[in-house]
Amino acid sequence: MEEFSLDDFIEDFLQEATEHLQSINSNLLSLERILTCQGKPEESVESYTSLISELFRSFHTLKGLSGMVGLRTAEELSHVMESVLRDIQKEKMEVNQEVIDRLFEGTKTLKTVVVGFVNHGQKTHDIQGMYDYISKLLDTPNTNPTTPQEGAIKSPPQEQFVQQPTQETETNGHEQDSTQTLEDTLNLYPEVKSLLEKEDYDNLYSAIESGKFAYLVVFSPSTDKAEHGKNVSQLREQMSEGGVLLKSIPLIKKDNVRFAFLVSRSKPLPVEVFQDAEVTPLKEDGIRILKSDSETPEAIPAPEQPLAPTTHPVTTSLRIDLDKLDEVMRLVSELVVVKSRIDDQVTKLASSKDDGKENSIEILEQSVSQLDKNLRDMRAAVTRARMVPLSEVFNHMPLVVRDLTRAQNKEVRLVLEGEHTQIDKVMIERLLDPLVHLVRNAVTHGIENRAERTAAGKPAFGSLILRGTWEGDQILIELADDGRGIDADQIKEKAVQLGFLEPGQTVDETNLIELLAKPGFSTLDEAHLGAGRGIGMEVVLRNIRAVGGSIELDTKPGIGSVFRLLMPLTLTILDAIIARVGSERYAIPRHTVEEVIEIDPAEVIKVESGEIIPFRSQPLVLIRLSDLFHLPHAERDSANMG
Amino acid sequence: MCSNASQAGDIIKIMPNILIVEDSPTVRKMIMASLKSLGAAFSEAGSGLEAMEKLTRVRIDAVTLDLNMPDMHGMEFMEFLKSHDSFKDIPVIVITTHGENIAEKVLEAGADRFIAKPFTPSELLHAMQSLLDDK
Repeated sequence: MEEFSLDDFIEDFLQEATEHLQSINSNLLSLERILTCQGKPEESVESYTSLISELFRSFHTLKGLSGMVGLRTAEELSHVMESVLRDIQKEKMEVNQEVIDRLFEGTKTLKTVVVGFVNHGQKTHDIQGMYDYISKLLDTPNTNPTTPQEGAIKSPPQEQFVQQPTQETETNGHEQDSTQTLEDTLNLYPEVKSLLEKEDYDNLYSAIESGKFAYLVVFSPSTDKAEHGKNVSQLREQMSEGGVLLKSIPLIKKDNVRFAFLVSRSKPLPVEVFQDAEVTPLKEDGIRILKSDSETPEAIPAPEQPLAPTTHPVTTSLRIDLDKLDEVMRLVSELVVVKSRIDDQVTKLASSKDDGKENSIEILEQSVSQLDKNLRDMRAAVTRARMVPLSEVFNHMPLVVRDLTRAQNKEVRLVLEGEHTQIDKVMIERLLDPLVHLVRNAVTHGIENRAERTAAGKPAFGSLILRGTWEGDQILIELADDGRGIDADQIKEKAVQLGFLEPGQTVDETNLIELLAKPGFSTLDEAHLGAGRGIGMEVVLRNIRAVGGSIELDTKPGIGSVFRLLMPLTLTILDAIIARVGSERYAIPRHTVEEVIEIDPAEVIKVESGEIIPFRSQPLVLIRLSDLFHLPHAERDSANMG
Repeated sequence: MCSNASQAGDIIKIMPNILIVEDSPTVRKMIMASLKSLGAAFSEAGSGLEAMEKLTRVRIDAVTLDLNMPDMHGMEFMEFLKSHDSFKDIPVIVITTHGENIAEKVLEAGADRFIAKPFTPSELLHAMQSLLDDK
């Protein structure tokens, strides 16, 4: 075995590479936000350093991975971008817009190379131009200690964009005092204290001062904990979701290892962490009292989402939480037990005379009803195992919006809400293209340019909200923009021109979508920069409907548009209503059934074009399944409508 | 039942357990695929901290170690390993992308072998085989 058989690893490679590419894009976006000062200042200190090191690691891992699968081009490109990040880490380079732009471009090419390789086995991709473009950054160091570049992030970043009283009084005795106070708390853990550096104290102070929760968490691993899935990685994950791990310190005594963590969070730690580890809150100690005379700024809680979200791409494989799989496993073993109980009784029944039968039948009935319950639970558990958060698609959108707004010189603020809402993995895959198209449309056609917006008395930046929520057993995804809205009259006029609509015919918002999906309108899209590059409105409709979803449009000229996508949670198992016609049976997905009514045959009225029935004082067209599917007419009575 | 259990115990005793410290799941899989013919058991760790935790809970006979990982650098992990009596004899193969210039540093710090990424399955297998044979 001289080389790896690629087939065995290609899916892993794609999944891991895509995850890193996604994470790079989202980290670059966060970095750009800090650069343009859109981020809240207190976010910046902690996230800057971790963003840079996460970016470095992503490129580093991509380099290694690409090398392992023999994709030299991707290896080289990752290498040059890794070098840029290393220079930034070593403070040889400043982060500015140019650096971010080039890294974005390089990442795009890297993605093309990876996808081309995975899909078409293409190993040779001309990357020289991009390689040179990136490596120019390395040739011309941009750090200049005397005249810092406008809008550049200097390292250490604190000096540039964090306004905190402690930073200005860094060298006076004040901070020394407060360090003493915190040290008192840390005296409980001398091993931890001895390993802390000044920088760690500074980080802790900034966190506590900005109103965050800070903790010292000490975890002792054990086989017992590990068997229950409680290990250091899982703990880290729990702590860093919505927070920042300021420091991880292994505490070693002989062969016994414990781990100490300093954590800052905008919300308290989850309960589980308190159960699994020793937690000392660092908030309520002397530091607050001591600082209260120096006008501590109003505490602003940081947003709940992690500062540098690790995002997951859309790939066909699915990583499943062990907990979810354990649940499925447990149910399977229950099923096995119930089945063996049934087998026993069946054997007994077969061999027994009449006297033992009653008892066996009772046990059988119990077992069958238990089996029924187990199967339902099993179905629910498998469904849960297939669930992934909407963030898998939502997280693609910031980059889509960024690229469009830069090309079109617009300013758009995208807000993502409810991205943790869970939906079936298959639905996620079907959602990506339609949502990208709708977002492109909203930015390109919906949101006006700055001048237009100002003239209309709107804020210069447009707002785009992408929100996911549960709606019974379906998921509602809303995309709202505050742009110019869709002019129904204009669409109507065009539709009449193209012959899709009779002059004088009315258009409500539902068939406005239908009209927008007509071929002629798609062409209109494609003429625009940005929109139409992916798929047309027609494909949006088709994709959404193919998985049993529906789409609604609510638009007000001058105010904006809202697209509402209603998607079923899962496709694997659907509740259905069974209808029988003669000897044929039909399953109708339950979520498509609005109401079931019983029809009195005496009420059916024959009209010229067919049959109607009175329904809530209105005539309702009656369509018989036998006519619809051209079946031989069976006897028509109410029993057949069941 | 009893005899089965003791047989299983014997098998576990003679089966070497290799700790793979590497943050990329794909590369971990590749390492395991390369070493498959050893008939070894594997413990996996995605970071230095995780590796230390595994080390204190499970018997480890050999380690493959990546350098650039979250939390704790591979070098730090190796320093820990080599400074503790109960672990210092565990052979370590460092597998990393850093290139040859770091090899010397790594070997000085106590690593038994250095393998540069991208590696081939056979070079890793041979290195591991010879280390396990020496034990």
